[in-house]
Amino acid sequence: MILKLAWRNLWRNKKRSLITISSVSIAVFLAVFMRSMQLGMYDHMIKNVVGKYTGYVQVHAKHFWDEQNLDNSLVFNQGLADTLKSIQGVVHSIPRLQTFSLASSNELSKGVFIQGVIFEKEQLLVDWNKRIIKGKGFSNQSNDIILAKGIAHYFKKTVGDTLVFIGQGYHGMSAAGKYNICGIVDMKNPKINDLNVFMPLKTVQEYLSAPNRITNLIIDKDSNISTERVIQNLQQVLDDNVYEVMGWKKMLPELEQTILADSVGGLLMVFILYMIITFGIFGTVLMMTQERIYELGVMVSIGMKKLKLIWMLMVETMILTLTGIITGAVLVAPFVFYFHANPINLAGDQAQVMEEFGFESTVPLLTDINIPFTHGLIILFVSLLITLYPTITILKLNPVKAMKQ
Amino acid sequence: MSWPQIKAQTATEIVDKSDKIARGTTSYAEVKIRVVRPKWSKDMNLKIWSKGTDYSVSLVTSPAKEKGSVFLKRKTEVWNYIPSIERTIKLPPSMMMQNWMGTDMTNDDLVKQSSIVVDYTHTIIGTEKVIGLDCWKLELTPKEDAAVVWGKIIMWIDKTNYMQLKIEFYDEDAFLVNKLIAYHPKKFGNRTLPSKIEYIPVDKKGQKTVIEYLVWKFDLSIPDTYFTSNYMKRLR
Repeated sequence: MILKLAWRNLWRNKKRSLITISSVSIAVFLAVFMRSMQLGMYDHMIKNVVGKYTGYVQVHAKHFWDEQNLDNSLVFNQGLADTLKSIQGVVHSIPRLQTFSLASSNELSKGVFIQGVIFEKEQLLVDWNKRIIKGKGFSNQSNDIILAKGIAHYFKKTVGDTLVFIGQGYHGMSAAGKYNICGIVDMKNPKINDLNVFMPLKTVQEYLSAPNRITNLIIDKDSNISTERVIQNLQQVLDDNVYEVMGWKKMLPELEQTILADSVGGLLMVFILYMIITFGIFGTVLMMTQERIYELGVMVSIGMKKLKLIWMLMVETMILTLTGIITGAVLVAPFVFYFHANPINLAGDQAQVMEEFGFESTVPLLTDINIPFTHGLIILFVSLLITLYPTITILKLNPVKAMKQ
Repeated sequence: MSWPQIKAQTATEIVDKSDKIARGTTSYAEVKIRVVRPKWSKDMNLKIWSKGTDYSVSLVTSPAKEKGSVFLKRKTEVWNYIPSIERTIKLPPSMMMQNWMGTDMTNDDLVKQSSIVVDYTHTIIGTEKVIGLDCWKLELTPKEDAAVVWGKIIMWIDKTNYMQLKIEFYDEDAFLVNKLIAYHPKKFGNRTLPSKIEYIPVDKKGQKTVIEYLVWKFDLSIPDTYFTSNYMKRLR
């Protein structure tokens, strides 16, 4: 009965209902779109930097993170690999050996970051063939190296040229070597592009006189298991006097902080949007109540329970907001899916800023049912709060006074 | 009256004589250098040719990986030849303060070594026994216009053979930075010299570099070509 009444009341003033519904749906549309874009950007950053390069979890020799040198490296053998494999949540373990060296060629020299990698294993994280812009990958024991494109540009080198490295090896050995460039990669990250050289793991170990030693062990985790869970599992098995297990948030605090700071800014925008919407809905409800004071007075005086009246007004508001939320969510869905499949390419200053931070300037939207759900719920909650107004009005209603107006 | 044996010597004469004995006009040495670190140590063998204070060249003979590396010192320049990349590098000023081959000596130490006679004023501040030998204790303070890194050097030189048995290097704030201890005196030809020298950076616990002289010959004739950068590749 109440539902029927509410329904009829809504249709009595179509224009007002429509305005309320559309304002709610626009709010939901904007909020969802904004959040999808922001969260999509973060998700992309994390996937790009963490998932494809740093790894969600890494294992190092103890103290390595504080003092990143070869003396804090660890021995990677089959035993350790097998142990890791048996841990729940660990899919692959990918060894790397990293060091700083001086690269030089003719008149030019530059400090570079050498990453010793096993090509086939890196392939598990990301398809390198998509990254290689020239040449090809290397086998595990060749004298070949892959340059990131910034380095190649600096030395004006291309596939087939050689580059010389001089550095300090393990336990005071001097390190020097001459290597062939077999490929050039675009790592989609300006920082990495300007600094990194990739070398077969065995070759780096030889260069540094550090056989079987590695500095970083990247854990490729099961995507269904949380990073924290995997870290816990690893810490239970690995001796914490020898190893340290780190999640990406600890290894890349600046990434998490950037995201957090930006996210807060985004939330502020959404909050302002909600404020506007709140007053919009409040305005409608205010009219809805004031306009009908006479009517309400009549209803009360002919014996309608005040509680039922409140209930009716609440249902009216709920119908309005719910319709608005659903319309907004349905309307935004195709946009989100479209921009998820066809990422937005930022241009100009904004793109430059992004790249300076080391991120790609492409923003695919995040498709997550939680976003419209959360924001729908927030708006629903807000409108529930607003119904407090008619509730109070009805409770205070004096039928005689109301009808006199 | 004459005092044939106990002639009073000035501090400068002592240092000068000691320096000349340890250097000769030319010298050839085979040394074993052990680098000691808290967690590990590393041995290497070198052949060193030198001429006066300005020229010296050293060839690494082991470990196998570094074999054939050559360091050439010409006056204030240091050149390095690395066989694995077939390249000769002149060490830039920025690398002069870096460790030489992972030891506790810097490249700069190799170059600047010469000046203990010329760049300092010397005073005898006492006599002390070091490893059972009577020594003069000397204080070396840098001359005003000298480009030296130390604020003060204290040196113990033994009275019989003029061996530098102990040296302490202080910085400008009079803090002890490096210590050098020499022992195991041996006869090399007609000279008696300490065969083992330890170089200890005081602020780094558990670190030192030990130099052991296996062969040490003086006043041989060494061709000048030995001290050219072109010859580095051919040095054996």
